[in-house]
Amino acid sequence: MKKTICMLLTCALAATALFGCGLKEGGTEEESYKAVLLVPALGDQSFYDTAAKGMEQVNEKMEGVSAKVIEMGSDESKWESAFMDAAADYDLIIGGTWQSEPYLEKAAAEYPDKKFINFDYDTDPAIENIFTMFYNTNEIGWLSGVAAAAASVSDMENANEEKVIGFIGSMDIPGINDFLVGYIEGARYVEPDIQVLTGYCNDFYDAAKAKELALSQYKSGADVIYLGAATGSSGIVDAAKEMGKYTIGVDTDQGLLYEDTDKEKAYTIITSGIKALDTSIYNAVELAKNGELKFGTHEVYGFDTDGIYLAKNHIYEEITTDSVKEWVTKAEEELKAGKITVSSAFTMSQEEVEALREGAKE
Amino acid sequence: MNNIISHIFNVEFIGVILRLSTPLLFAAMGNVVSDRAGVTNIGMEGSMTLAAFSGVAISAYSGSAWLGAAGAVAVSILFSCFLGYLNLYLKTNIIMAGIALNTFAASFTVFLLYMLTGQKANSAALASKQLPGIRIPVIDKIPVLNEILSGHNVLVYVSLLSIAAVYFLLNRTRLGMHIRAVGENETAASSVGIRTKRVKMAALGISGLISGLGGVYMSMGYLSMFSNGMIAGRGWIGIAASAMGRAKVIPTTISAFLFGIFDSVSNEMQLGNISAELIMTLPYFAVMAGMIIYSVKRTKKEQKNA
Repeated sequence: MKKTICMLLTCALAATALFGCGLKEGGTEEESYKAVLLVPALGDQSFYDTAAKGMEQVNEKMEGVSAKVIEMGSDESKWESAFMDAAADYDLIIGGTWQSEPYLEKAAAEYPDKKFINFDYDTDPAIENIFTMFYNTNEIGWLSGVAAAAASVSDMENANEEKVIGFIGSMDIPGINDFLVGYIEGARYVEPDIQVLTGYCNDFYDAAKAKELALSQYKSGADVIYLGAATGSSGIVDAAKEMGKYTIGVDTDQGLLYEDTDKEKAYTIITSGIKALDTSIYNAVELAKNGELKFGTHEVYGFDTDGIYLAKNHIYEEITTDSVKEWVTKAEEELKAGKITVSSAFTMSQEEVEALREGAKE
Repeated sequence: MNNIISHIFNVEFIGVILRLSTPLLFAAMGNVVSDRAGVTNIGMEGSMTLAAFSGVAISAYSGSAWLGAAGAVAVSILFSCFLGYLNLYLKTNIIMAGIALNTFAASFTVFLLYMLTGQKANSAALASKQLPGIRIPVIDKIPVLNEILSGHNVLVYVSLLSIAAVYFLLNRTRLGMHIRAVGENETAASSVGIRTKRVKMAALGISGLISGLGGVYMSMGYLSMFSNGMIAGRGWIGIAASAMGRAKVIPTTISAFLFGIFDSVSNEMQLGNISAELIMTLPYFAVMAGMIIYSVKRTKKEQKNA
């Protein structure tokens, strides 16, 4: 008897659940255009958080579009089903970088009537219903290198005599080295003899390792270090505060992040090289909704299209000297005018990157 | 290249080694105590992570670094005892329980961080406190020694004291004798009236206390904030160091410092033209070499005795 009641109750429950879903599907939601962004995890205070900000703006400002961000987790084996599920439910599915490429393409092949976007992805899409876009990260690196070198040779309060700057990356991979290549070239644009020290944490999270690398670079005469160590970058800022030196942020305006809690840390961050992931995603969603986005094509955003730029917040205005501002302005003008071509780690061989990196340490 | 050599053969470098070895030393010493009682504290990584987070959170809200440290250690002790409860009283496989608790700690700290600050990467939004550095009165006046020994974070000295404390505990106290007895032969120990479960629980608690200090050092001494994943395997290295030292205090101390030294050297070597990947393998290579040397010596000894 008990068993029967149990069974009946279970069936009833299942039925309500199914019925409930059915009702919702048939409701008003179908009218709005549904876009979803799939990321591994939020909270990096730079890359994925900026992308998610674009989706937030869509929800706030764009009419007739509902946007959602889904965190898939760091376990890549779950990504395929995440993309498949998303493709079944949403009109526009957005993924990021080469990491989501295989899953995104598979879902795009399975759902040819749905549209897909892959951002920060450096080649043409493989399938007609995908749009890919890329940012000239090497130009971010280049502008950051200009600012770093100009600060190093300037009379800024905590700059030293030695012509040495540093770069700390999370991993020795093209995505990170693209910043590095630009950074070295930008630094040499200001000061041909400059020495650029490089270190890798070989980890995205190890802030202690990043700090130790930073301390050893600062002690070797570096006065500015580029924050390329992902979540671990907080350790570099810590080291900069301790040693009274400078850093340069990446992807978002990192100086503003620390401002409320730790002014000293905020004032170590001269400027940040920003990738306008939020606006480019916002614009892409808008175009896609109006049916104007050219799927099957690839777009590159650089300094000339405001896809990347240097953050000039009040900290930058306060702490940099006129010579730094002049160098940065001059560099920006020449870059915009197309007088400068920055090399890219994506088109260089590993040997070429290594040669450049090791050569800059001398 | 000269640059690197001058960095490594520099008195300051000993300070670097001390700084980097401290968390490893805490983890290793914590494991020595539990290992000797016959339970490996697999939850080491998790207890360090939780302690690192609790220290930051408590100090930010209470305004006191010491209160933060005390709270963090308490959390770490509870966490280790919970592992003990699962293993000793509920008979869970300790590896399974440890893995579960470690993954729990890794994610739960991020969850709490998000609840408190709205950020998932680090506690930059919390104005947490840092434990002070200490200048040792007499040594501070001696030229070279003061650079090496003075001016470190208070927990660096505590970690060095913990070596002596663990040695004393294991060899000179009643509890220490019971711990060793239980670890060597549980049946024999219980036959003479030692309450083995209680002893193991106490050992895990002490292990939690010491490793908790390691976690506190990471977020309130070495760095000034909690950052997601900041323990980065240091708890596991502590377990490895204790295994390499056969859970004996002196050999374990040496292996923990070995890890610290290789870690420091690999950081400095990145300044020069040596591939980072190769250097990163140094600590692990050192473990393997150490284990091989140890085993060869041991088997030779055994052959002689036989």
